[in-house]
Order: sequence, then C-alpha cells, then structure tokens
Amino acid sequence: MMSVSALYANKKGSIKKTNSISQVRYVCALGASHSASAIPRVIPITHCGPGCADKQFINVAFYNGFQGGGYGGGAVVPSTNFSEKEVVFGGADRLRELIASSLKVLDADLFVVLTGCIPDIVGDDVASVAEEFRRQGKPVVVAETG
Amino acid sequence: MSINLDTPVVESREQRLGTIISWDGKASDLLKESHDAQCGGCRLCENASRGPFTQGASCSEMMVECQAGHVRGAVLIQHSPIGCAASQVTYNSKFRNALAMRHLLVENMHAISTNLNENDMVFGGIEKLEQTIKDAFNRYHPEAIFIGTSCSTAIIGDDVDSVAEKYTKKLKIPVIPLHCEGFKSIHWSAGFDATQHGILRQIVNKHPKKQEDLVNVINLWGSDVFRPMLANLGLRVNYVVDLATVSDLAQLSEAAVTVGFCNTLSSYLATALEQNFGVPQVKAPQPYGFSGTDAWLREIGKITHREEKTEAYIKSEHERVMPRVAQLRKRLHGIKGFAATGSAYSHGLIAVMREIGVTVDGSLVFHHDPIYDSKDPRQDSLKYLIENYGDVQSFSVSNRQQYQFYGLLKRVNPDFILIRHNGLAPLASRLGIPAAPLGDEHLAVGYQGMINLGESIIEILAHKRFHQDIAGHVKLPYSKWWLKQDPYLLAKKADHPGKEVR
Repeated sequence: MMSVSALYANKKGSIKKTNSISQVRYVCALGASHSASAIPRVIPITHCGPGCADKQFINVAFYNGFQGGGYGGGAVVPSTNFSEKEVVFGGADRLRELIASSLKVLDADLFVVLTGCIPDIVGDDVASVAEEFRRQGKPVVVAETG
Repeated sequence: MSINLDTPVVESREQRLGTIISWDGKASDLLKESHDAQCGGCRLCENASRGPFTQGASCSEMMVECQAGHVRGAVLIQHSPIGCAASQVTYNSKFRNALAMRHLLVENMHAISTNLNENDMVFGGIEKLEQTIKDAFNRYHPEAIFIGTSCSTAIIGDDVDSVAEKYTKKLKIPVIPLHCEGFKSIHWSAGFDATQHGILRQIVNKHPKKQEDLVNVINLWGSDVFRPMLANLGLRVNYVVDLATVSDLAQLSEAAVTVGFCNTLSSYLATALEQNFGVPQVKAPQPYGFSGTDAWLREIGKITHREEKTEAYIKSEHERVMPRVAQLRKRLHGIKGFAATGSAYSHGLIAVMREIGVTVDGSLVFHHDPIYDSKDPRQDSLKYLIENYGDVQSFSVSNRQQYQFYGLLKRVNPDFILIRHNGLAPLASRLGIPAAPLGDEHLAVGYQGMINLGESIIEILAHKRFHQDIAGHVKLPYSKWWLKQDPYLLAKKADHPGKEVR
C-alpha cells in the first residue's frame, strides 16, 4: 500500500506550482491606502473588515523598513470595520456615516475611499455614495480595491 | 452553562461574556455596571455604542495567525484572499524573534494562503483548499494542520468543516477548522477563543495520564519567566499556545493546574480544560504586584500541594526585591503613567505601576469582558485592582481608536504610556509623550516584574526630550473642532448615526 505522503508527492519529485502561497511578500490592493496617505494632506477611508486596513498598512509599511503612517496613514485611517449586520444588509449606510464623520473629525484636502473584499462581494454601490458627497462639494473619490 | 466543545464554531465572546468595545468613565462605575449587566440590567450596553466614526482595528483572524500559526510542527492554512495572509510578514518576524528569545531553533513560520480570487468568490474555493492541504502535508510533513477561515470564505459559504473532516481521516493527523472571520465578532480577541476551541476539540489528549508536577502556562511569546519561577516550587511548565509543539498541546489535559498572565487570553482555554478535562485553573488574582503574585502563587501551591515551598519562595522573593522596589518607589514618586493595552493585562500593569510609586489616573483598554468564562469572582481582575490599589479616574474602553486617544491623554497628561499593539504610540509621540512598547509581555510579571517595569519606565523617561521635539514639529491630522471635543462625543450620540456630524 502506498504511504500517504507518496500519494500526494509529485511523481518526478519536482515542485509543481499550485494556488498555495507561503512566505507572502506583498499585500492586497487595499494596500493602496499607503500610496494615498503618501500624498500630502490626503487621507484614505477604508470600507472593509475590521482587520484589513491595519494588516495592509503594517505589512506594506511598518514591516517593510519600519515606515510610519505619516500624516493621515497608519492608525489614523478611518475604516467601516464591517460587522455581520453590514454583511447581511449592505454597508452603504455605514460608509455614508463614516465619510460624513470623517469630514468633520479629520483635516484633509482629499479623501480616497478604498474597498476591501466584503463590500465588493455583497455589492455595495460605493461610487454612488461618494458621488453624493461630491455633489455637496466635498473632496471624496473612490477606487475599488477589493 | 459549561463550555460546549461539540460544535466546530466557538460561541462568540459577546454572547458568552457580554464583551463591549466602547465605554468611558471611572473604573469603579465600569465594575458596577458589569455586575449589573449580569443581573439583567442594560446600562453597560447602552453606554457601549461605537459611534459613526471608527478607525481600523484588528480582526480575529490575526489572533489565529499569532496562535495557530506559531505552533511548532503544525501548519496554518489561511483559506483567504492574499490580503488576509499579508500579515505572514508580521507574524513570521514575531515568531523568529520569539524562538530566539526562548533559545529554540529559529525557523520560519509555517503558514500557507489558499490565495482566493474573483473566480473562487463566484464558484467557491473548496478545490483550492484541498490542493493547499495536500501542499501543506507534502511541504512540511506536519503533525497537525489548522485551517483559518476569512470573511470572504464565510460569506460565500465554503464548507471548510467537511473538508477538514475528510483530510483528518485521509492524512491521519488532526486537520482543524478554525472559524475566525473578522466580521463575526465585535472584538478580535474572539480569535484566541477560535484557536483554543480547535485545539481542545482535536489535539488535546482525551485519555490523559496525569503529570502531577506539570503547570500549563497560557501565554504568547514572552520570555521564559514562569519556568524558573515555578521551578522553585518543584513544578515544570508547559507553555501554550505560541511556540508549543503539537505534543505540548496534547498534554494540556495531563497537567496539574492551568495558569495565565492575562485573563483575556487564557479565559476560554483554562475554563474548558477545567470543565471538560478536569484540570483545575488557578482562581486567583493575576500575578502582578506583591499581593497579586502572593495570592497567585499560594493558589498554585494549594492545588499542587506545595504550600511549604511556596511560602519559603514568597518570603525569599519579598526579601530579595524589596530594597530595589523601595528605591524605585522613591525615584518614580510623582511620575504619572498611563496603560493602553488589552483588558485584563491593563489591570495587572496598573497594579504594578502603583506598586512602584507611579500615579495612574488613566487607562485605555481595547475591550472589556464583564466576566470571564469561569464566572468566578476571584478572577475578577478589575475588582481586584480597585479593591487593592484604588479606583482609576479615567478608565476608557476603546478598540484602538486613535481619534479618542488624543482627548484621553489630554485629560490626565501622563509622563509616559505603556502600550501593546500598534497604532496608539505614534500619537503619544506627537504629543511629546514617550511610550514603552511592551514587546515582551512577561516583563511585568511577578516580583521581578516590578523591578523590570520600573527600570523600563526610567529608560523611557530619558527619551522625553526627543518626543517633545517631535511634538514641536508635527501637525495632527484631526480637525481643530474635534481636538476640543470630549473623546466620546460621537460614540454617545450614536443613536442617530451621521446626522449630527454632517
């Protein structure tokens, strides 16, 4: 009888490329928050799960030459921190209140809304939420980075 | 109700313990409301809204990486898009440092992402998961495989449990699903419970052979403090979960007693070991300061029948550290400190700071558990703090919300802060306040901990000028309006989200 490991080993002993990735050396597109916050007086607003914003920042910046958050990056970045409620009922209202309060609490010339996997899966219409604010003359733009 | 190990998904902290992530007031009021909450009152939750404005926090999956990902001889599969696995960088760094600190063979962390993309979101990611399980088995020949879920796999409904069961049979090693999607719980400490639940279900030995001198110590990566300490009582230490081997985890059920350095971390595992495997947990204050450490050691001595050795050790340690503690008390008199850490850990640190003469008028904790899993009043670390070391005037629960931290620091104007987890220290620096990042969480434990912490504080105070220079040259990203407000203004108005602030 074949041993369990022989069952899965590649026949020639060579390593075949699969979907599996270990020793990850990059982040997902939400890491663009670090690009946004690198522009003077620009602050990203992230519409994503509770850990996403921190994960991308810490690994693209802090654990990459100990870069800090600068003016409006790192731990300053507002995030909707999706909970089960927004997953089920949609997160557009939550994003709306976050953008509105960010305009009040933070001091920036441009806010860049970035999305994570969850709003893109549940289908939040993020562009039209940002459009509402732009119509009021507020500097809010969107990039879908889920 | 006892802990249920029959289901693969752990019951969330907010359901089990009534965990909250936002609150502001005096420590004694939080204690009172926590006790009322258990009697059906609701003030705790009414005051606990997070408000419309929130900054990035953490998620349960990160705690799974830091625990399940750091078991030696096992592999963690992150069934997730690549962004979730980005923190392999962080946790690999922590893992390697920790191994070196404990004088173990330094190696890379064993973690693999299934790397899901849009196609998998539409058609499901199970095939990739099966492929990655095979890859994990071939690459590492592990003794156990953990599978951490992610927000996306939970939403699309991948049946991770069935796959895990199938490969447990096929590979003849435990393949353990850990349900840790970030959106499921309001607080990331749920990830500790998810990992511990999986270990209890599938690794812990169900037919234990008792080892009467073995003590389970539930910790993270801290330096080797407990082994030499408990050796004085003739006890051996089984450090779990981080840096443990799979067989260390299996023998959890064989130990004489379970202890921890922080109730937040150890609550679930210690209680389940007691209720489901008959290993008693130490129901005593946490091992901080003189009285806490005394009581903690005495309880261990009682359970393991080593009362005499315990008393001798306590006496000799008091004599050893007292002269230095007295010097520190003099040196640190009038200095104001602030603790911004996990919940139960902060209770311990405040006790140590007060023990060595530091004034503590404020603390920020990332969440608050009104009760721990044991439901035993002897483990009520907040109550112990207040009764033995006095009230804390400004005691705030804030899930790493930097925008609230500004106002909290302004309230009490500390000379330094103690901190764990990133995000808050940079703001303190910008206000001219030096921060001690407690990378080694065992620094303040026990009698020696008082000396260690005192000396670290003296070191940080020497940096004060540097931070004041930073403060003189930076502009904060918060609006002039916000900097004048009460830090909980928005959280308190949360009944009408967004309306007041637009």
